[in-house]
Amino acid sequence: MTTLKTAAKTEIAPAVIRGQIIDTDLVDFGGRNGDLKFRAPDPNSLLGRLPLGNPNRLQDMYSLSMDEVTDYLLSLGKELDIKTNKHLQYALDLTIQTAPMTPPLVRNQYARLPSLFTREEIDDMIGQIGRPYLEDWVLDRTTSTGAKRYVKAFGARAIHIVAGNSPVLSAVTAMRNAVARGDAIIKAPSNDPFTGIAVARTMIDMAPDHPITKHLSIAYWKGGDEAFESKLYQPHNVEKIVAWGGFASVKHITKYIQPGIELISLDPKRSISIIGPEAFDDDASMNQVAKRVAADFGAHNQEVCASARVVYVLSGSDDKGIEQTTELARRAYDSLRKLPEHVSTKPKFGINRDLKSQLDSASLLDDFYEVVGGEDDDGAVIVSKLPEPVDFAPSLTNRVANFVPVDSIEDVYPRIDAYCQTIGIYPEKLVPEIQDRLALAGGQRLVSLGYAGMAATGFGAPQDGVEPVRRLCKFIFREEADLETTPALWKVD
Amino acid sequence: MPEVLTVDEFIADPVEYFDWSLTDMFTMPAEKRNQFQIEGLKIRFEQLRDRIGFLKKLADRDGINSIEKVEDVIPLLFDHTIYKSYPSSLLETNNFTKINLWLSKLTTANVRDVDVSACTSIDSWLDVMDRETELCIHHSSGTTGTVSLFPKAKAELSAFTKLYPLRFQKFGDPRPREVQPKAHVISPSFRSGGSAHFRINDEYFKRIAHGDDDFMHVAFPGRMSADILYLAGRIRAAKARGELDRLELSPTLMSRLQEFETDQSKREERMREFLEEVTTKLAGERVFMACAPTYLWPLAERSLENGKSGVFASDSVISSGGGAKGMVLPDDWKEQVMKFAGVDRLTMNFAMTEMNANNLLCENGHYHMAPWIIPFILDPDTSEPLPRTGTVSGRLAFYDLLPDTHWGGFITGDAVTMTWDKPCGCGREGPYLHQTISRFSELQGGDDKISCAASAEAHEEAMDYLASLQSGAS
Repeated sequence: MTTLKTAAKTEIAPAVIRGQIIDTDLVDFGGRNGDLKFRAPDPNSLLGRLPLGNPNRLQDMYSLSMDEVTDYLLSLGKELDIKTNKHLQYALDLTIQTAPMTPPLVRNQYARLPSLFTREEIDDMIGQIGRPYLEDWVLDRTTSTGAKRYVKAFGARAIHIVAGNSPVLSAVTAMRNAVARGDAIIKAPSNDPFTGIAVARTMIDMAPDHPITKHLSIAYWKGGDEAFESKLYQPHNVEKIVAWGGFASVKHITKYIQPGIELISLDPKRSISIIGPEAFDDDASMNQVAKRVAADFGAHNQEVCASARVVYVLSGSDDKGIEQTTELARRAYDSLRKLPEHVSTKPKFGINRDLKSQLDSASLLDDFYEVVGGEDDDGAVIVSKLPEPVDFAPSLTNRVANFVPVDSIEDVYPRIDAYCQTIGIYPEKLVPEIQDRLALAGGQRLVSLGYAGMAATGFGAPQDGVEPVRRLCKFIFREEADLETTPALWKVD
Repeated sequence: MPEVLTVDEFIADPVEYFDWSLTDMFTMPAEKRNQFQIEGLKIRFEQLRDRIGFLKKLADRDGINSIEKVEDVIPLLFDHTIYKSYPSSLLETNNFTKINLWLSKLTTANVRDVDVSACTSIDSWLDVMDRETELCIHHSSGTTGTVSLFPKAKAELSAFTKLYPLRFQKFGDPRPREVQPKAHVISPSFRSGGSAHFRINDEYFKRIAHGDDDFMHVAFPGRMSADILYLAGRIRAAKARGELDRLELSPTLMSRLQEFETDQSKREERMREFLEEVTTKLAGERVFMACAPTYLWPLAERSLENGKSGVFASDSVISSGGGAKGMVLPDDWKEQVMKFAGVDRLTMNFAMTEMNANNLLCENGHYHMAPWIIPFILDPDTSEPLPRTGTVSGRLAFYDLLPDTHWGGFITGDAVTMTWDKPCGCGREGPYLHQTISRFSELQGGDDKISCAASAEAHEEAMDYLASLQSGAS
């Protein structure tokens, strides 16, 4: 792997608009706070071409059967092989510099790209919408009066403001768009401006004139560039905006929401794990739980929404419970440091300064906290001695978790809110008892402990309480009356 | 300057050391200042190393047993968050016994033996602590739902506030005969309370009004309740999170809160009335007025429009400081204020509860550091010290030599630019800060890096936004 030194040369992030690569009218972006500086086409120069002004131009997508869509995606998956794909190789070198994750993790994300495009995954995503609904008008209901309802799923013109903390997300977006047969404009994130472009260029190399290639565009502009966005985000240009991201960026986008534009908001989230008292049944259980919980907060270096930050341990909050939780924390910290390199490493820039000072304070407050690890800037576990998370729990990152011993699961529910995405649970037998309560409290994804950082059932699954692939579609229905039996408005008697 | 005074006197009571002369204070020769700073720091370290629990832990951890040069103290500076590092639930549940346990690691004052188990509110706890300890705890306003509790000592406050009468002096002039002139105090705030800007009124009363009630003019005669401030912050935070129904508040506190909210809505009006009243009543008098620009400028503007200018005696002191909080001030607002008040200078101060100094703005636009404050500029990300020469930008940290019951080493949240060795030209000695000072927490916003993981900043922004909706609706 070559490491690019960019001091002499400023990298270019071209725009890709419907199969065409655009690398003219370049202006400088980035370069702040040690970011990689890069050049990209002046967004204003793209405005005329970027939106699909006439929705009728989506017709070419509807000449494709879902088998053809599947074949395209299967081929794309094979092409997205980092060992042979020069666009990905180029993007990987740059993404290593822009990503919050460390090089082994970024490499692993790139390496798993083909696995997103298997037949099993594609079928699952199609199944989320329903293959017949994508293919044709489906007879959905026949009423007692003989009226028939037919439904068909159509794609829409959508802007995708994707998160940049995981490089696979641009590829997932391309796949979702193909399955929904829509027209996607991806706004490249500043912390990952290159991966999506590499995917789009691979599509061009593979099938330059294919409708799926021609309905994917990607460009970089600075999020919040109001002059540009207010022109692009118009109902005659787009029907949906899929916004990943922080509160400020989503809030900012709501300015453009008006009749004719729908917002699909994939808000920022954080996650937790819940560990039942069975963890302490014997030494082997404790070791297993330690390994699994370390994976929940360690995977992706705790940079993603699914990463556990607070871990509730149903050990009891008395001295014995605190002692047990502390022992579990020690073993979890050891396990964290032994996680495979492609799953988790020492954080890229150590522990964030503000978090580090909070951690330092906590380590002085031994009446309230026990801090395990944290000295060499490589993750830590803070054990709360009061049955509550640390006040700075929202800031936990860089492999720093907070273990909270509690007396009962009832103490956990009030701590869950709409920001809570994934909940890792141990043991499995606890699940039936708590799953509905967790969902009502705000939790959005329940997983077996240790699997928070995996998309074990793929990206076709619901996300953040919504079904993004279905939401990308417009469900159009047709009613067909039986003039003999369906009551008519014009009949006088 | 009396040469016989020692470093002990310098750090214990700097104003006395300089014999109440503003000019002497800011012309202390560099050599003497440096010598006293390192000697003073050694004294404080020896006094406090094993008596402040948190300091001892830090020093033990790093194996620091002596201080040879001022930089040696840097690993031992406390981050500004330490004074709110207690678990916030302790305050929510009025667990003041445990709060005192926490506080006992930050002060040499004996707070562990004070029985606070019966305290059911922050106010009642502050009363007991005021009465039974050598401390007068300063709390922060807690607008975000967390409150800093700073263990300032009464003796420390008293030594520090001797600086206020010095504002009547003009730098460069010789020591006046009367160093503590009596003047009318105009304080557009509550008469008392536990946060710094209410605590200070007692000191104004003593040092400026000479204990004369007729010379004390405050907008609100009562006490600003710490509980109400804290509750308001918590409610704002809970409303913003959509968790208001999860907040458990006693009915007594709720009714007090309603009073507070009513007061808040009338506050602006009352403040305006108050300022109109005192400017009429005290016309031609010598006054000492400390007022935020957000009140001072509109007052000046209204008065000048009504043909009122030069309202106070020309030897009055008008002080201001702090941000304009969203108000757009005209470029010449200070000149307008001076014209209105009838004074030839406006005292601008950069200060914080944790620092026992007034760092006043000079005519060249620089905040000069008092000689008993040892400043440091740290790398904002790594907290590594930056060079103590030339002009450097970074995070302000300092050691304040005055306090002897808590550790004076402090890392602020302020982004500053400091010039160490190029004379400012105003005649004052020592390093100085440039006028533009911002909070790191504000600088970190405005990034378009998107992550699906909710960061604390995103959360706070959400709260700010929702809080603004709430206040807009009420």
